[in-house]
Amino acid sequence: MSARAIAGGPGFLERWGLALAAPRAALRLADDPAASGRAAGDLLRAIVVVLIVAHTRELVAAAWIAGAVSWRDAWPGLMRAVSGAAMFGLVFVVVATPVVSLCAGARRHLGRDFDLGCVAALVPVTVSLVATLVARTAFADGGLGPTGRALVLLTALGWSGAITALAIAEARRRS
Amino acid sequence: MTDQAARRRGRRAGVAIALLAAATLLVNLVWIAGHVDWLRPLEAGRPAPVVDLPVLGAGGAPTGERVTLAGRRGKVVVLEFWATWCGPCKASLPRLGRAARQWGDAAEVVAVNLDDRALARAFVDGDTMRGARVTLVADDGDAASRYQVGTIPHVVVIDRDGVVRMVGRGGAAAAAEAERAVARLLAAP
Repeated sequence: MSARAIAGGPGFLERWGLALAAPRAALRLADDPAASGRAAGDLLRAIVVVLIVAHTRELVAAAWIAGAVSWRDAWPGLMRAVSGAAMFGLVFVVVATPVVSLCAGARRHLGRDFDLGCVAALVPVTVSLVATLVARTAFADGGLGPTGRALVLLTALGWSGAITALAIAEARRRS
Repeated sequence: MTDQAARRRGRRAGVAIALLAAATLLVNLVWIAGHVDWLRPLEAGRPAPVVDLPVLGAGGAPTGERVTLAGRRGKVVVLEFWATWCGPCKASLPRLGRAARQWGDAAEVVAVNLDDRALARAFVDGDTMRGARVTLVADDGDAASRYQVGTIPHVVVIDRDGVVRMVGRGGAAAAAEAERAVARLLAAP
């Protein structure tokens, strides 16, 4: 898919879907200078979605404590929810960006490499959403357990690692 | 893959993500509707949430005994949620434990450990806790949720009828405040 063909075309959800189902197309789109910064915005939006739908309980509890007791008492719960939603994706992008940049050789461009890293980071964000749904339905709130958590981590790292490899190839193809 | 094929796959995956997000939100909203009591802020005057926690013995292994509030009716109970990595907890727990010696059988300090059971047992048996009397239990995952533990030490004073009388959320002042609350309860007829 040429970046120009779909620039301005796909909406946020479709771009998120492309990152999972057609990562080469998503990476090409993100690497287009005309769409600079959009992948980072998508990652941020995805994190906000996960915060709202996967950490609803914590947000409701924090809001209730803030209203009934104080903001100071609500703050730790709120921060736990935010870090729970954001940490996996952000840590991944912080690691993936320099890897892509280093491996891109002479064609490195930190800003565009960051965009590519953000596309790869959509995978762990999505995996965490799936893991939350599975934990809260199949395991009746008992959590995934150490084996389940290790499986989630390996799946996310393996999948996003593969997309990072594609991101490196994309960066090396830049003209 | 053609442009159109990629876009079709992306659109399908996007719809799947939207459905996944909606399902997760629904599951959480259903849970919230059924657990409003767990989310309502714990304040003085509310009945204390149920606890049923295993007592930790040598090496942090469960002794088989359990701590319940129902089994402690008629006694003032101080619950302190703590962890071995928490500096303020390691200051407040000995203080409350020593106060418990003076309170005698009228009040009990229950230390609910949130991290390593063996380290917790070693701390409670160590020099820092000399002269202190606490019952060490392990959190079962639910107790910390029911008592809305956000920061530690999280100290809750429960009266003889099982009603919450004080909640101290974090900070060094929680132990002193709990001591005063227990003294008031013990002084009451």
